[in-house]
Amino acid sequence: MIDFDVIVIGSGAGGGVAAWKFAERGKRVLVLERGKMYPPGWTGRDHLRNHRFSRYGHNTGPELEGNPRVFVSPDGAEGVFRPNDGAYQNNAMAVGGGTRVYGAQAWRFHPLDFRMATTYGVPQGSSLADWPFDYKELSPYYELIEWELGVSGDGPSSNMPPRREYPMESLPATYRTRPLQAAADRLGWAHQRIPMLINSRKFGGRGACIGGQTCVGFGCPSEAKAGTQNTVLPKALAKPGCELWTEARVTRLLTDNAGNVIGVVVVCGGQTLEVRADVTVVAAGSIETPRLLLHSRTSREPNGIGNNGDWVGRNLQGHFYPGAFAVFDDLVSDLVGPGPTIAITQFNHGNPGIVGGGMLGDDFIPLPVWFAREARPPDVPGYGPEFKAWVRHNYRRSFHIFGPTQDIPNPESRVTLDPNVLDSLGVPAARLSGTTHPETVRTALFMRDKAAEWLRETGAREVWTKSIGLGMSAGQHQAGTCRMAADPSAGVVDAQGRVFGHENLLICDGSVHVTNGGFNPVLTIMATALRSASLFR
Amino acid sequence: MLRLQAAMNWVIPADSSPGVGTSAGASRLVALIDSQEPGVAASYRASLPGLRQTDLADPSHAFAAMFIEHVRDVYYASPDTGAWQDIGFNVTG
Repeated sequence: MIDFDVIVIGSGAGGGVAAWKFAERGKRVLVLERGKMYPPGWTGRDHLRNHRFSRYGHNTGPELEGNPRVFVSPDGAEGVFRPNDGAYQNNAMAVGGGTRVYGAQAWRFHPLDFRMATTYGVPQGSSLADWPFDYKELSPYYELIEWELGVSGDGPSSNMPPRREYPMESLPATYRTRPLQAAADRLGWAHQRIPMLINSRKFGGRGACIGGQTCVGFGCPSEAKAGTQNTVLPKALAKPGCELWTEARVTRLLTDNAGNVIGVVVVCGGQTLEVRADVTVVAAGSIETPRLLLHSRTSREPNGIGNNGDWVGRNLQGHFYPGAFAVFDDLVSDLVGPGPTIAITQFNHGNPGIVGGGMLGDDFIPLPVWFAREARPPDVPGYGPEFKAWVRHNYRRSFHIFGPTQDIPNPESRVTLDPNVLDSLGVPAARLSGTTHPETVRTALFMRDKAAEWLRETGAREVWTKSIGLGMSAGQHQAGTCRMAADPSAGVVDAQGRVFGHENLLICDGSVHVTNGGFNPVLTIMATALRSASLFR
Repeated sequence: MLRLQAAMNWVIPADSSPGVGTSAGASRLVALIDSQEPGVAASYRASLPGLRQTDLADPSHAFAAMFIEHVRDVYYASPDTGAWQDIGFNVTG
C-alpha cells in the first residue's frame, strides 16, 4: 500500500502552488504529473512545433498519439483531434504544466470580475454568476504569489485597485512602448506596464531576462520566467516525504464503498497502482479535471464525482483575443523580447451597453512563421514576390494589439465524456461542445475597435482587423468547468475549493473560476489555489 | 527534387535574396512532409507533378493551398532557408 497525506494531480499553476502550501504545512505530498520533466534551460525551440505555433506538433506533452479529444463545432460537425490541433484546446502538459512555456503575464483580476452578475445582470442563456468571495478576500494571496514567484512591473493603472509594489521593476521598454504610452495619454485611457512573472533582475536564485525572441510557447534559457517547476515545486520537493512522479497518468479517483475519495488509480512506468491519501487535490486543468471527475462514477454519484448538480464540465470558457494589426513607416520593433510592455485597462469594465470588457496590450515578438501566416493585411497575397517583399519590409515595422476579453459563461459550452473515443489507457476522451455566449462576441468586437483606435493614435500607416464569430474559447486560459459556488445547487466546489459532499477532495485549477476576468488568469489560478490549500483543515 | 525546388520558388521566389527552392529549403520541406500523416506524402506524389504556377491563385485547388502553406512555413520557420536574415530576425540566448 502506497499512501501519502496529500495527492496533487497536476503540477501546473494551481497544482504546483497547492503542493507547495501543503508541503509547507508539513504534509507528505505526492505530485502526479502526466507530462515529462524538462531540465533547466530547456527551450524546446522548434518554430514549427511549440505552444505558440502548433500546426505540426508541440514541444511538451501530451504525446500526439493516444490522447485524442472530440470537438463538436458550432455547426454540429464533430471530429477527433490530436493535441497540436487548435480544436483540442490544449495546454502544455509537463512538470510545471502551462507555466513551463507560458507567456507569464501576471495580472490580478479586477474587483468587478468577482461581481459580474451583480454588476451586469445575467444575460439570457448565460450562467453568469458572482464568485462566492470578493477581490479583497483574494488580495493577500495575490500578493504572496507576486512575492514568492517574483513579478516585475509597475502600476497599478488608475482604474485598478492599489496594491503593494512588485518585487521587481518592469522589464525594459521597447521601441513601441513610449509611442503607445503617449497615444494612450492623448486618448485619456488608463494604462500601465504589463506585469510579468519574469525576472527583470536576479530574483529567487534565477537569472534575469535576456530579452530572447522565443518566449511564449517555449522554455526560458535563463530561467527568468517563473513557472511552478523552478519556484514552488522545488521547495515542496525539498520537504521530507514529498515526491513527484512524472509521466504518471491518473485514470480515476479511488473511492471506498461509501463513495468517499481515498486516493487515485495511476498508471506509471507501465504499472497500474492504487495510491491512497487523506486529501486529494485535482489540478489537471479545466478539461482534464472534469474528465477525471466524470469518469470516476460511484453508486452515490452515478454521473461522476461532484456532479449530482450537473455542473461538472459546464461553463467551459477561456478568452477571446480580439485585436488589430498595424504597419508603421518607421521601425517599431527592436526584437527585444519577450514583447508585452504596455496595456490599457480602461475598458475592463464600465463600457456602456457592454457586459464586462477586457485588457489590451502589445504582444510577444512574433515568430516569423506566425507573422507570415497571420499578420498580413487582406490585400497582400499569401505567396509570390509581393508577399515576400511585404514580409521583409514590414516584419519590424509592424505589431499588433491584442487582449483577453471577459468570457460570459455558457452552460452549454462543456466537457463531457465521448461515448466512442478512448485514449491509449482506455479512458473515454473529453468531448468539447458548445460555443461562447453572444455577449462575448459583442464585447470582443468592442475591444477590437478600441485596439484599432489605439494603433491609429500611435501613428500607424495602416490598421486592419479580422472577423470575430461564435466559437469555443478555452485553450491555454481554460476555466470554469467545476465552478465555485456558495451552495451545491449552483456549482461543484465550495468557496474553499472543496467538492461539495467531499471534505477531502479539492480542485485547485482554473476549473473553479466562476468568471475568467478580462486578464490572463494564471495569477488568479495560483492565488485561489494558495487560498484553498491554506484554508483547508 | 528539381521539380520540387522550382515549384517552391513560385511561392517564395528569388529577388534581392535567394528563393526558398534551395537544397536546404527542399530538404526542410521533405522532412516536414515525412513528419506528417502518410496521406500528405501521398498527396504530394499524386499532385506535385501536375501542379502549375497558375494553380496557386486558385483558392479551390486544395493541393496548391496546402503546398503554399507548407512552403511558407518551412521558409519562415528555420534559419537555414535564409528567411530569418532576410527579415532581420535574430535569436538571443
